[in-house]
Amino acid sequence: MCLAVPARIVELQGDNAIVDAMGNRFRAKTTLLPDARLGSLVLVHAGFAISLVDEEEAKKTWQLIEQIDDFLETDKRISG
Amino acid sequence: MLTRIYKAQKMMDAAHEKLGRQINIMEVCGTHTVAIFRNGVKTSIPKQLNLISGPGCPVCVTDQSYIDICLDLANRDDCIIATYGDMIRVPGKSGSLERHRGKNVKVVFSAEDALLLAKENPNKTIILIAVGFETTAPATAVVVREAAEQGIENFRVYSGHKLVIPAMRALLSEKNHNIDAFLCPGHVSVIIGYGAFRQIADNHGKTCVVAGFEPMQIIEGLAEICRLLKEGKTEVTSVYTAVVTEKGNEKAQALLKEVFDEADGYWRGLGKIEKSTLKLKSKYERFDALKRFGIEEQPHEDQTGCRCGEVLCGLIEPPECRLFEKRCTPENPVGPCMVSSEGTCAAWYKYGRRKPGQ
Repeated sequence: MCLAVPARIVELQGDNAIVDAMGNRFRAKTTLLPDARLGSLVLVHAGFAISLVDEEEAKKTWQLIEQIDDFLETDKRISG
Repeated sequence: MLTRIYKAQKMMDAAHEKLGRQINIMEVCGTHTVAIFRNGVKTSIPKQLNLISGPGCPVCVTDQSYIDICLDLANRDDCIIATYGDMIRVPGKSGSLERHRGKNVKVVFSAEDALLLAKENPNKTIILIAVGFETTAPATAVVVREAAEQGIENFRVYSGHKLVIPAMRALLSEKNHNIDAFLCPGHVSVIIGYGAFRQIADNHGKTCVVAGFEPMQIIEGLAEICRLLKEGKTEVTSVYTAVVTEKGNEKAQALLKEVFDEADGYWRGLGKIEKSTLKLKSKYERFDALKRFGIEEQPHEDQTGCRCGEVLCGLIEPPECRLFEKRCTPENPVGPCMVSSEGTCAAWYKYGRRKPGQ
């Protein structure tokens, strides 16, 4: 499944990033997105940043995620 | 927003009036399928617009023999299976991977986690169960390359990666299909770019519109399809402009080309499709789990009476399967379309329990 979550890069060393999505922090790789910088908003799929995303789009998606009643359940099963 | 919905509905009505018949649009993305059901999109558009769920859920389209081989691998003491969470409950010939969970089956969030498992467990062979479309496959490519560069020789991949466009082509080559246009997957398109769908427009005369996952995105994607149908045009475009470009993520595409070859492969419901799967290139074949263990895939039919195959091709709706809601529920799934939260059967069960035609 091709779920992807917008998240902000809060730490970056080489292509290893820590990203923040709605207060949840997790590891993500930026290998597929050489333009990613510290502070960039990126779309993360299965632990990899796949695209840059703007603030407005990220906010829309975060709001959408908040609306999903079973988000926690979905998050546990998030995958490819 | 109401104005946008109203405009979209007017466009859908206009297209129906122009064509004078039902309009059939297939979505080829599990995330769209769920979003359509969850947000009641089917009931908020004119009923002459028929939305068909296609083979867009990677777990669902994974052939039965692939699941069975995963189970065989999970029975080995010398291996640890690293899988994404959505594969864990898919039933095979002898239960599911769930049975081995916590022992030699580990759920990973990222392909990178599988590589870490390999580093942490040098005495075991770590096998990444790599299922997913073009969105997920580049991550596998990255870790295979890393394993090669770092000499992590106990890492293997069982690639079940599939390509969306060959499946669309296969559906269109069926003589009795009734698809007028495709609503194309947002995140697959982040990687391949919306331009990749031009071959469907050029060779099969079908419009392809990429949309995101918000309800408004889906409705506007459908309205754009209707506008093109009304005007008699075949085009390829995207309403998910925030992240989808015409060319896609070229770095990811280059990595896919470097690590994988396109190979013929089997899909549940669709059978063998030419150049529709990704297998490791010979340069990386020492990381190929099947080659390592000398296993050959032998596709076989599901014997349970499950009709997921027909559901995946949009030939029937889930309630037409006699197992639906009876022997097959999300708690006790028989087929993958009920297991995956993005499967059409699970979406029907959760949000749409209507009888066909209603």
